Amino acid sequence: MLQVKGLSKIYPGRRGSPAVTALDDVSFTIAPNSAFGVVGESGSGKTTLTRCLIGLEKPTRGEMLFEGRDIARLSPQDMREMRARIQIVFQDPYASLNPRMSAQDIIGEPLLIHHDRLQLTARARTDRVVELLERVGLGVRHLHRYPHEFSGGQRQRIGIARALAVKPQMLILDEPTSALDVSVQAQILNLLVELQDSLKLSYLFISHDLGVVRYICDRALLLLHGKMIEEGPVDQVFDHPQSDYARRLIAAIPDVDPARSLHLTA
Amino acid sequence: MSPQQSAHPSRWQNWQRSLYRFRQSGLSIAGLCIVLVLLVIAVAGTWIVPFPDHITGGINTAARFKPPSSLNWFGTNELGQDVFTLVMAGARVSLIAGFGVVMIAALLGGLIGALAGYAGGWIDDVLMRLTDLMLTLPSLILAMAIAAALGAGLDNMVFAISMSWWPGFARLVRGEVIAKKEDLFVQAARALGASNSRILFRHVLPNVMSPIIIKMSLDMGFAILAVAALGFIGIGVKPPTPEWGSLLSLARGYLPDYWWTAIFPGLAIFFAVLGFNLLGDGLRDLFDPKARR
Amino acid sequence: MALLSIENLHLTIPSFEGEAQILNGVDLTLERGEICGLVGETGCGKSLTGLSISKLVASPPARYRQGSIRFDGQDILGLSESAMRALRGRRIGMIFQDPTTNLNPLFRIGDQMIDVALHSTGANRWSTSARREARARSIAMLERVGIQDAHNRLDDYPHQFSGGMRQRVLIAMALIGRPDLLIADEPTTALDVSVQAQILQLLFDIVREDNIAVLLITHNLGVVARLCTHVAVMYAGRIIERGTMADVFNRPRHPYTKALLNAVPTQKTRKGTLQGLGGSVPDPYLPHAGCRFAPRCAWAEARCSEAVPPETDLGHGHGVACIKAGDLA
Repeated sequence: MLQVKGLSKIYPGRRGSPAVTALDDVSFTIAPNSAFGVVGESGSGKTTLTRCLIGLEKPTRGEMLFEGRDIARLSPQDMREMRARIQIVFQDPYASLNPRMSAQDIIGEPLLIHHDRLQLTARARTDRVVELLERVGLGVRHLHRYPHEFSGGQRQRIGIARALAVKPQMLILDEPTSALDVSVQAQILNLLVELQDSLKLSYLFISHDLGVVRYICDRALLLLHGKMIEEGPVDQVFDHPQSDYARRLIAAIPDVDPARSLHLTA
Repeated sequence: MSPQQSAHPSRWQNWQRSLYRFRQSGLSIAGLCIVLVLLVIAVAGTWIVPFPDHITGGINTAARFKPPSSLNWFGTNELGQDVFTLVMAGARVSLIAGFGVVMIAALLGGLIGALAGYAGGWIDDVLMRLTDLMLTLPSLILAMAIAAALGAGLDNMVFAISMSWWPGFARLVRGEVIAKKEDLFVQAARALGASNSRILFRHVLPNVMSPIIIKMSLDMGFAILAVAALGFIGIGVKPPTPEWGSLLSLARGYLPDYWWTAIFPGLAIFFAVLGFNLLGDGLRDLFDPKARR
Repeated sequence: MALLSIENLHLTIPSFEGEAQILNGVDLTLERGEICGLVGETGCGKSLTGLSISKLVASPPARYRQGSIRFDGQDILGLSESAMRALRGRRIGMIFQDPTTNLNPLFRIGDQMIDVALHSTGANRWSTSARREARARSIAMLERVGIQDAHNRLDDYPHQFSGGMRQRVLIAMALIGRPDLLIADEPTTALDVSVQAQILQLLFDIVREDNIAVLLITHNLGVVARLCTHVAVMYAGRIIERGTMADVFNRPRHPYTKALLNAVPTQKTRKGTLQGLGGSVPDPYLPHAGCRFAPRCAWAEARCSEAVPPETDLGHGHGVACIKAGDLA
């Protein structure tokens, strides 16, 4: 479905500072209806990768083929159409929703933006928004509420509903649960699993939480300073990492198992 | 419950919550009261004053320089006109002029600032250098020059002051737009494929309205002061139309003996400036999410 | 006598919606050498418990309706602001979540640290010898928290440090007065996992070497499992389960603790089988009777909503505030 080949992004240095290589020759393939995890710490290039995929940045080199067409080389018209097929859910559900728009306006916005292709009447749009709200576990009663009236988990559900509005084939999930409590995180993760099944979606799941990536994803990619460190099926990446960095990173992940506590290892 | 009904309780509650926060500050309430009294006077002043004919230039030479009394609360001036009547009537001119200045400045400055901030690049450079250029000119001198070129009168004065006022709004709006432009929800809209005008008008501008409204309220006071200053130096509204600045200017020659001719227009200016400033501060507390109580 | 003991603490904060009941009878004791993890969902009162210990909750408007906080025998809630200032930074240190906003960007790290160091000893800030001594102590402390070349780095500004390094600086500042109690509110939430692991190791080493007590406030159960000796699980302003880390994490008895632990995906969790916890934290404005977790609890019965469940001691200080604790082994 999505094939990324030799993707590099170099930011030219400004005012004498050296150029920054944010992505260095990254390649991977996401199969239809599968979930692909991208794991890395800050500065690893995760964010640059998503920005390239949704067309907010142009890569310096390489290709991003979505069903055979390179995302970086689309005309503005085709890019708009591509945006309906790859959607994104952001990390921070507090900042990613416009505080002055109601849930209806937020979820309905993609339908308005892509009106030229969808041709939905106002009535049909409202019906679709209600359907989406119900799809993500909210309801008609939430239609006219504003973001500040929702909890973090509910906001993230609205973010997911907005992403699903134009019936995309692929979702980019940028740390969708890292700002949430574990109890809420579990609800959202299960919602994502359920949506993937019923809507036959592909996921590009970005996270620093290996437990979450392992739970959601089939394959995973480990990035360090823009370079690929590991890539493969999640069990292989996490249980039999090839590189030292991967081993160290995996060891650093806190686990709820007390047997791995400092007291017993120190 | 139908969706149409459900909107109201929550919006109503937001209003109530805002009101609750506003009421926490006595000074904001004082500001609001002063502004409301001014508005009432500006609207109804000409009907409720004791000597309506004095507003249109009627004089009473028999009663010159009477000190404040129960008949003439603020005394009378050199033409025997009731100072209370003139000050009340002056409120309308000052408020209309101040409001006009702030509206024009906010619209023009807001448009230029939003365009500069949103577009960035050379558009930003050109527009902001123009703004800087306007800021380097002393505002009162600029206003005097424009008023002198176009002639005296309320419209020209308002136009003149606005021309020196908009750069402040342009800078404010540009800064806010640049900050909001990077917000995640704006990026989200961009990722959805939203057009620039949609992003600017639907996502960016509604979220920068609060500081603009606050600045408008704070600036109202100073705009009234600027109007009075132009009136004082003789550019602006021509007598007999009463205006606080020109009233002060005329009274200047009769100080200190006939102090009431100057002190009451002066106090009117003082309270108008104070009222709008307090209101502006109150609005800032209201809109600032960090100052939530 | 325990270093810190909080008894039946009730805190309310008035607002537009009415009196918010933030803390509803918090009981907590902490001894030297213990690292106690205070966990719970957002809005359960974790942070305000931490702030109450150093009396940093503005009161009024907030009100302590009942209860007491005793630190080394002193009644904190009864202390004056000046007595409290003497305690903060000297005997009670604090670290907060965001290492970026807790350092003043306009001053050098050294100046900020020396200020704290001078305050901690009550030395005359204008005395050259005291400043020299404070500087030496700052350098020693920065080196101890793993900042290399501390001697020169004192003259750097906060923006010249990475996030993890800034958090180390803040830990150094919290520790420079050699406090007996360190309150750490989400100290690693803003950091990368590998940096987080280093900071946790650092906190662990400090506790072992200095024999201080740490109250670690976090919503990350993995962090608690890695670092803490004890755990207190908080729900709706009350501690509903407490005990040693092994007891609480290996043998949780409160349905809420069980639900929280089950909500974390681990190596063994199969796709689609993660157990979320339905519902949400109760509204602090609504009056309530009985167990506040009952509406979300899978084991709830009618009697759960009759009275607030008292804490049952299951031995070794493993306390559970649930009337069915015995049945949920």
